[in-house]
Amino acid sequence: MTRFPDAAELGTGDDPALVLIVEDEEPLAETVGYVVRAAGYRPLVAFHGRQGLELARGKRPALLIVDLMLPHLDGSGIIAALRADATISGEPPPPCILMTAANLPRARAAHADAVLLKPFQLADLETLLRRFLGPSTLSRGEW
Amino acid sequence: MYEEQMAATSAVVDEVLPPLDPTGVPNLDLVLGGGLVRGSLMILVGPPGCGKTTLATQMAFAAARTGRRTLIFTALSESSSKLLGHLRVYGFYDRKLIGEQVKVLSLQQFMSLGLAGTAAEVVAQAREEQASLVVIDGFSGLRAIDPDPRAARQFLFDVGTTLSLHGTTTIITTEANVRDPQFFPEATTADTILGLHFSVYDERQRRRLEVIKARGETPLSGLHGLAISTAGIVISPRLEARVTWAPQEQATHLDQEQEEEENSAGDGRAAFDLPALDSLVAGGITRATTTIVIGSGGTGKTLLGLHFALAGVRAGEPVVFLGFHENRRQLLLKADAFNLGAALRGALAPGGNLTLLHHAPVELDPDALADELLATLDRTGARRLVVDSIAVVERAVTEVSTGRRVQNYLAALMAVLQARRVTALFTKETGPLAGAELELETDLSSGVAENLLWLQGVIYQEQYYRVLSVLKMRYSPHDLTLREFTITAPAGIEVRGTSESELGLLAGIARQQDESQVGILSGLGGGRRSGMRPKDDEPARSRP
Repeated sequence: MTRFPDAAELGTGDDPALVLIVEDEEPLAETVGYVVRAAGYRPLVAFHGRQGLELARGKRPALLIVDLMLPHLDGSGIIAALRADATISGEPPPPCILMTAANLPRARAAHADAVLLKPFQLADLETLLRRFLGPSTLSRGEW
Repeated sequence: MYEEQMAATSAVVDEVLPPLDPTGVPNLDLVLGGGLVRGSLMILVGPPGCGKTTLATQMAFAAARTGRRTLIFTALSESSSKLLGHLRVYGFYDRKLIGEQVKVLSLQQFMSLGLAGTAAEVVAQAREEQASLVVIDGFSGLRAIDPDPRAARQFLFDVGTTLSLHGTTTIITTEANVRDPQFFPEATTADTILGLHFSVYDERQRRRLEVIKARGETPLSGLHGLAISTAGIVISPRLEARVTWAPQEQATHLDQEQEEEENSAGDGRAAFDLPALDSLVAGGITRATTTIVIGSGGTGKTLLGLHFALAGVRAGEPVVFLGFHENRRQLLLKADAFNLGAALRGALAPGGNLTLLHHAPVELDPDALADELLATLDRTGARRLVVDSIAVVERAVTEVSTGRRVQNYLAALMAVLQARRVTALFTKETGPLAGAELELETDLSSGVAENLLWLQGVIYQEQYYRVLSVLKMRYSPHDLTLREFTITAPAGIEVRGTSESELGLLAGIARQQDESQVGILSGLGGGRRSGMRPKDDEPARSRP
């Protein structure tokens, strides 16, 4: 039976908002996690789509940063599944930033709240973090 | 009965053969013997920088453009973000395909599962995505998981065999020396192995591609040119391999009637439209042969090539002029000086039937040159070709190969021209003046070509003269007499009859050369007396 690596929780604080990063490329996932933590939030990393969706449902992050191309379930599949969940539960889905090397129409088709076209600058990521989570390091609460 | 059974068996075999998919890499299908066998496992092996990743991804994008889903897995060689970033410079890259027909995934997260687990993940991903082409870039990075060669072999077997059953083609790049003995036991499961060579000599880098193994295909043998440009990778098949392996590149055989019609004296032959010269060669050059115009600098070789080209255009024949020393502007300047400018401009204009190819004679790749030339001849349907000069091509061959290759290359070039029924004229420089040693017996192009014209600048009784002679013409009667010719502006080349030359000039030159160049023609298969010069007490004669 195939065993998947465990998701890595890179932060330990209690209060900061939880940010779920779903990215199959480890160095990039770790870098994004570092930026998230440096901005005062709590990063949680999944390395493939199915694992990312499980964590999104279980951990209820304040923000998702997902790659479009992922093993097992791609980023657009995660977003669609969380929106379907929201329709049933009546609670809004978490905002989602999509990272992708695909072109903009393809990225928009995933219906993310924001798109970071690869290669992107980390400053752009920081801007989006502030836009969705606010400037402070205080938690906006988990959904 | 037996034949019927065999025919039935052949039909069944034909039906079950897997289809060949185009690789999308210029000339790679030709080199492979048809294309990429669907469901096969191909390994690209070579040192860093040889073009493995570019080649593999170019094939992936080509498949994606036809609507096939492709998966590109990166191992430790390069991150998927960087990979896509680097591919942006190439013409084959299409961002619209990313995320849909082309998916790029990292294998890094699965490497902790070991090689067997990683193989299972690759197969699972390919099945989930219904990929018809899978690329694993950087297998050498995966091998580091388990140094046991048996594990690497098992990985390749598991991935290649399982995906093959789904009709999925797998391309794996791995970093190794092409002749690395450790690599081959691992790669036994591969259906196709392409070796990519990357060498540096003098100050030049050179990439080449070799089909080491191709199950079920008949690839072109040897090392083929590989160039990386902004369009992507372009393969230049080794010219000799085209001839020895591809039947269509071997000379077509006309029946006797066609041959006679094509070469009938007068209209059927390739004339220069210089009556006195044409009369020496039975009205023109024999069709589908190669003529070398040999001579020292300033004797009029390029101008004679222009006459030959423009005569072809006037006869309604598409013509290609491959030049190295003069570009379009310089060639027009030369033509203007001799009243050929208007004709040349018209011929070079769109629809004008003359195609000019020009390359500075610097670091030329002989196979790329041949490929471009053949493509141009095929595209234009050319009947005539002028190469000015073949010495540049010979130098290009010796620069990148050993001198032993030159004769094979030239013979192959002439064979592919003959297969296309192209009548070619090559110019070639010799020593400064007649009287200097002319080593025709060791001159390779002169030995291989069917016809040989010699233009000489000679000093006779303190005057400079130009004379020409037909040294050989393999399939045709021709006149052996020396002829004086002049190059004057604006008249151009004018070949004189023997009676028009200064009294005693031609006989005197012949005598002078007899004394100084005994035996220069011994390598041409004719011997001196049957070769270029009649004795001065002998009348001019024709030889069948």
